[in-house]
Amino acid sequence: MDAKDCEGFEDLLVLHGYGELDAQEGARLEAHLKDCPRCASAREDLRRVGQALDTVPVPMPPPERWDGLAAQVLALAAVPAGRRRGSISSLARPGLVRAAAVLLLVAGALAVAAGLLGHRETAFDAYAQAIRARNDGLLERLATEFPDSDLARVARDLSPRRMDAADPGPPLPRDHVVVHWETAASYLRQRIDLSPSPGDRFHLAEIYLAKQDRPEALEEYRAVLRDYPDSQFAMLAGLRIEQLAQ
Amino acid sequence: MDDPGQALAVRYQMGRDPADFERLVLHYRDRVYRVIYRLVGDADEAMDLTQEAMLRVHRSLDQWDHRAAFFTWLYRLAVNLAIDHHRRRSRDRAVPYGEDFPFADPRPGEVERYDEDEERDVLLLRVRRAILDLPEAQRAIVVLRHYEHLPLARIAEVRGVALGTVKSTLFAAFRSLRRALEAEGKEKV
Repeated sequence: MDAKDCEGFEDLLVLHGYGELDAQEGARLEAHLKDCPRCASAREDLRRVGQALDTVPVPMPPPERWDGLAAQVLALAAVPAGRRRGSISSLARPGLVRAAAVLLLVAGALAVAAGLLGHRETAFDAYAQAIRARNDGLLERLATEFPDSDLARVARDLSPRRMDAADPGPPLPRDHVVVHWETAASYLRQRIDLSPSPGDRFHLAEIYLAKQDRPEALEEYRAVLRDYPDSQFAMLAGLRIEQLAQ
Repeated sequence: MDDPGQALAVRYQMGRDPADFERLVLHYRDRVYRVIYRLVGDADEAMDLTQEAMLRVHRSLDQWDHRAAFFTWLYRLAVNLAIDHHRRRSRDRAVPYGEDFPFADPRPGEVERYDEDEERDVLLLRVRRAILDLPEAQRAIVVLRHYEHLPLARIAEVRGVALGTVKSTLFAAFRSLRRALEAEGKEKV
């Protein structure tokens, strides 16, 4: 039996090892293995790889370092993102964890109180809301109510409806997004974390492009092509990659 | 699926009772930490990212629409968080992927700690290197399948890609791992 006869069987061995083959495919593979020393040897190799993976431990944190994690998270949640300080890993001594959580709770409450007293909806707030909710109506309101803000222009340019067109158009002007690109990218990344979509990844790439970060933009465009080859955004991403290659 | 965490997540989503959040964190923190640790390779960073993941759960739970199981939604959040973090870190430090990982080479004292079984240590370091050298997408799928025992169909949900993509990525990962371990084994001889 030569290598050509074995094409595909090695991949099936991986699925077989994880119990992901149906009975028929499993029987076909087993029959092949009886007559094929090459694939039998490959199976042994894969078994060794699996055993090697099993040797890698995870150092779990001692329980006392996790104390107060939930309280700490709730405290952090009350602090505006720009003012957040402190991470659980920096609280190395277990005795400090509870005290730090209490301090954070106090700081968070003060920050919330200050925020409520001085709160005024800004273009930034509305933009963030709109991006998170992918809300066309809110994007329009933002563009109407804060027509001169940078973020309103960004919001107009990033409107999902714009992406329905077959032609993505020229790259966004740099001054539209450069001021707040990081915030916009951060919100899009959060959305992608929660619910990946080709549209958000494409928008993220557009922001990188506007920021003139070509390597990062290319990476995102390629991710759209790779992960969502059947979406309309794959075509748009392909066009952008061609533009960048010129 | 009878995951008690699912009921906890629904309760917290409906009532926003801090006591429910504490139970939810307690239920999932080790699993989230484990996945993140295997993706970033650093215990302190994994703790911080676990904290960040729980913060995002608290802030964004309203966006969980129950179409996916809660733990699928949570795994997706954690995996993407770890991958994005590592990507940014690698870019910021301008260090080639994998070369600044604490486990890519022995830390001071690490070899001494294990010197009762040196051969096992060498293997361990080789395997860690091989895993950390995998591209992010491949590493994520190996972690979810091999260590977290998620079925491939569930992994496709977590990663937001087609089942075929998960399979081909897993095959590629195993080919790379096999090659890497064989090559390193030969080098050592």
